[in-house]
Amino acid sequence: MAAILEIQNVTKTFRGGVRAVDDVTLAVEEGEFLTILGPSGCGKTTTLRMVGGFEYPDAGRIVLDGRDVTDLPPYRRPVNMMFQDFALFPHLTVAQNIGYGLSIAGMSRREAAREVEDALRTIELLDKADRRPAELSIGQKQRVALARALIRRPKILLLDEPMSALDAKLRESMQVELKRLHDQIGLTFMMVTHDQTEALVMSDRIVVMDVGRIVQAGTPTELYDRPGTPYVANFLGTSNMVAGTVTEAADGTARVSCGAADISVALQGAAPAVGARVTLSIRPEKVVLGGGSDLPGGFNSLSGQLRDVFFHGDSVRLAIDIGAERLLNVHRQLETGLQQMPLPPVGGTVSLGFDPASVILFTGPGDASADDAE
Amino acid sequence: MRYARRRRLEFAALVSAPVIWWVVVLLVPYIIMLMISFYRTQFPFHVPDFQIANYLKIFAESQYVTILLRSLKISIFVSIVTFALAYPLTYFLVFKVRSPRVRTIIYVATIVPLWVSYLLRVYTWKIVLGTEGILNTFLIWVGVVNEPIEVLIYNQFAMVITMAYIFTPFMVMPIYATLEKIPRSLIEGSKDLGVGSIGTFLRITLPLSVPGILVGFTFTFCFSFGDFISPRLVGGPYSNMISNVISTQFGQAMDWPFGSALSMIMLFIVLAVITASDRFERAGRLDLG
Repeated sequence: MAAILEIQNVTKTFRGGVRAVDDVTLAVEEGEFLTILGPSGCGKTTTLRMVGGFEYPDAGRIVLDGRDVTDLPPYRRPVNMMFQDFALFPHLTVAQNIGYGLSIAGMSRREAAREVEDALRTIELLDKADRRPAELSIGQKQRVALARALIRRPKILLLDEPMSALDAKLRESMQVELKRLHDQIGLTFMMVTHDQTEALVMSDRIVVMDVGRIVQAGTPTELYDRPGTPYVANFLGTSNMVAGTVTEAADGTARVSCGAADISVALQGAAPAVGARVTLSIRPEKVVLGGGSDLPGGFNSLSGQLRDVFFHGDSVRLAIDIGAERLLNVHRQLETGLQQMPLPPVGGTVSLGFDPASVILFTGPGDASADDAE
Repeated sequence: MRYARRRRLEFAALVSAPVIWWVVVLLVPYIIMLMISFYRTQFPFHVPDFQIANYLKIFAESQYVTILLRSLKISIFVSIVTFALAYPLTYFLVFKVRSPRVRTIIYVATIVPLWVSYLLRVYTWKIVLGTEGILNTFLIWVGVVNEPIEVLIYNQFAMVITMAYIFTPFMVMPIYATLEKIPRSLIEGSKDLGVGSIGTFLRITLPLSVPGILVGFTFTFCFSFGDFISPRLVGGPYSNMISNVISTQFGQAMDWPFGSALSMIMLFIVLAVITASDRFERAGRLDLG
């Protein structure tokens, strides 16, 4: 596949010396749904805005469809952006908003009117054509913004936190809608978000950024199952970060002593040195309850003390103390009610286990206490 | 019950002072003026009556119509010149000056002349434009002219310049307020859709700043329409405005009924302008949220 967009060694420093984007290189494939994910201030929005032409990089090039657009103003770039606040023109009607960019595109009035009508029909707002944006619901506003960004048939659609103005319910349905739209029209989508669920649900590929740099890029499953750093492991989903010391390392497996527990890990990369201090990442949903013969062969088998039970309706989260100040969060989907679950009272002993292959080992003590990034 | 009554008393106590003030210094004088405008003049006295000769006189004698039209013309010119100066300045301040501190300094520097006496500011222009004034001295020193130019002062041009200077803050303030409220994403959105800087200005920024422009125009128009100091100090012989005539009626001419009638006409014109601009503003009021 050909790259439609190449961001080459781009750096952007703002007044006051804040380096928002630091030597970022990224290629976007034609037709893919790429998401830049990161906390606020990580440089993701600045990167997107440089593609749109709203910021100019201090160094590096931006090549769009084989053409260097680094120094072009936004109105000369064949990309369109859907803004976080939708940026609908309040003094124009819905139809005028959607058709705003067409008059410039050298299209006849009648042709433009037909295009706008088609777009209005697609977003099912034909009856609202002569309304002002202020009269629309937030979901309708978003559809208008989307139609307006697509009507010029951009080479890439840029989406700046498109769901942040929506409530949880609407957000979920819009995620599905946007994803479906992407698959339908085959256009390249480049989205920026701080919401990991959004990134996981919608993207073909996720780029995780932190303090102006790309930390890791890959498909959602790659990033979730094989995070390259503790930062990624914590940002995408939640992880139990358990500190320990390597006691054995051979034949693609390592044994790590974590306080009272001994955990074996199926190694992905190079074997760590024996005696090295490491951090293990264990996903809460990968842990199963039960011990001994209940567990599949080869599983780590631990026991701990139940500290807390957090009921989430469809699922339950247990905090289990596995000794030496190491707390494991365990996530269980509730097929039946919470009452039917064989749980000891809080303070009782529980057995648990997990696959060595689901454990990620990071060398270095890491930041085991790192909070879940939002 | 007692609580409700106390609340009512408190409310009455709170609003009575402003209401009394408003009635005594605004409403009553307007009513008196309206009454006097129907009186008859028997020089040097006016006697109560109810007749409209004073109003007829305004439109019957061409000199008053001329002065009314002149006042309208001058006020419109002042508004246009003020707008032409204030809008680019304000646009520059809001969109081009990046540093908030520099922006505040320039803004305050624009507004601060309001703290200086009005009379003094008109006098400044007398000093600038006069035959022995700063501008003439400068022109002679540079060698552009050999003798002082006399067309600079004591004409309608000088009046328009002076009033435009004085009323600039009243144009800048409302335009500043509207421009500042325009979300930057709208301007970026327009450019994103392929429209260049000039097109974006004409199709987005300018229409969205119309409410501020209307308020600025209303301010400058009404202020210059009622001005009688600039005509006197820098206006020269052919620049009497309606307010000058009114002040003469209450002074040397001792014709209060006629002065009142002129004042009522002036009040009517100003109220009409304010109402019209308010209508436009309401019609165009938009939710920028």
